[in-house]
Amino acid sequence: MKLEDNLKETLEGRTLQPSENTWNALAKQLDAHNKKQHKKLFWWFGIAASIVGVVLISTLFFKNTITDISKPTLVETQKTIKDVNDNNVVKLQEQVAETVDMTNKIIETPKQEIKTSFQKTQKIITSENHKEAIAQTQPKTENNNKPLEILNAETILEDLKVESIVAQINDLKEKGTISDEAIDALLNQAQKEITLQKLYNEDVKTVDANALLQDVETDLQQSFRDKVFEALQTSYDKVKTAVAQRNN
Amino acid sequence: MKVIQLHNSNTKLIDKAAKNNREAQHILYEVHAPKMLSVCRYYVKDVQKAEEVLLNGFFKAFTNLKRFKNEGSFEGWLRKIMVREAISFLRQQKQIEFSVDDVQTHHTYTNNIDTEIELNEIQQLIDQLPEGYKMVFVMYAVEGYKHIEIAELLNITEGTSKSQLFKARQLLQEKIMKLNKPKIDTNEVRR
Repeated sequence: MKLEDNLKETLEGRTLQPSENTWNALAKQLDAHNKKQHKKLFWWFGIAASIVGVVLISTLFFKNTITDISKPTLVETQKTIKDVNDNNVVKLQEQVAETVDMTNKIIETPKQEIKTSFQKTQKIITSENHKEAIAQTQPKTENNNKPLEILNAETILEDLKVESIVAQINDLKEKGTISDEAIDALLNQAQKEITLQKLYNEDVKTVDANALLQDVETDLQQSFRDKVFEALQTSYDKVKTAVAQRNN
Repeated sequence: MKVIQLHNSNTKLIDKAAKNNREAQHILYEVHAPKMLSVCRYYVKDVQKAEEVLLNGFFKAFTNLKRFKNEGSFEGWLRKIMVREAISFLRQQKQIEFSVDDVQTHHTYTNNIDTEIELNEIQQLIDQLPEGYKMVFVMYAVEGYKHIEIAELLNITEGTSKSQLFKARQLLQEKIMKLNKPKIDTNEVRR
């Protein structure tokens, strides 16, 4: 019989019984390993759960804030539009027709309210969810020409002031007491009066912040002073042409 | 029919053990431990240390049982784990030394020695071999590994594996001859 075959055959057939403690030791090792695995799993589950929790809370929080913002907007919109239409705009139209001073006091507040309410109305129209609101606000969008009327009232006020200043300057001219300083003083006073009337809201007894902002914007437009100078120049040109024609 | 039933029951047992069923693990241990301890004993002289290797091997097997795909035999898979565990144990003990003497591996040696050696004597002969020789010899002659596999497992070259095997065979042959000589002598005296 060959050596290696004999060796292999003999060794292959051999079995050795391990001691009893070996299994116990193995069982203990396996138990310890399982505990470690459970701990690992526990930590992983904990981390996963906390991540899910944070995501849920954050989504809920953001959803709530969005709804909080949108709901009151709708309610306010309806009220302001009603107020504007029922009281202020009608009053405004009447008062503009009557006196310039009274008009100036009323103009600013409704003007802004109409502007804001007009924007809000547009928002409501675009949202499909609130059909009732659309039904209520849609007729009120027909008042688009009202801000134009208010703007016209503003220009009327300025024109009236211009006329009065020109008249005063002409008086001074006739009296012979005209000077650059006197004209400047008159212009400054008139300008102050106009800006005050624009900013100060007589109904609420407060200065309108939006009006202040708009005041800055109006600087870009033609100033009151320019208008006065323009009016003086045109009257001067008229006199000049009249004298020239008479001489001819 | 019986073979199929046995296979199915064995597969179920392995599945249970993979799910950390202690009872199933114990049954698998009881069935395979004696054979596996013998395998460990090929490499490790001390039985207690061989048991230590066995324990570590079973621990690794049970904790990685999900990787066993029931494609080969469970015993073969377990056996490979035990061999690897024995090698790493001997590495930890720093008992492996591969002599790098220039040996002509093409030398023939006689494998045709007609001998009947007792089991204990075989194990003793193997134990007497240097660790390097012993591991390569057992892996090649008993476990059936190829030189390329042995080289990979022991982190040596294929040539070293071959030279180690050659030396182991030479040494074993000498020892067996010595063992046989007194027997022959006693037989002659009896005649």
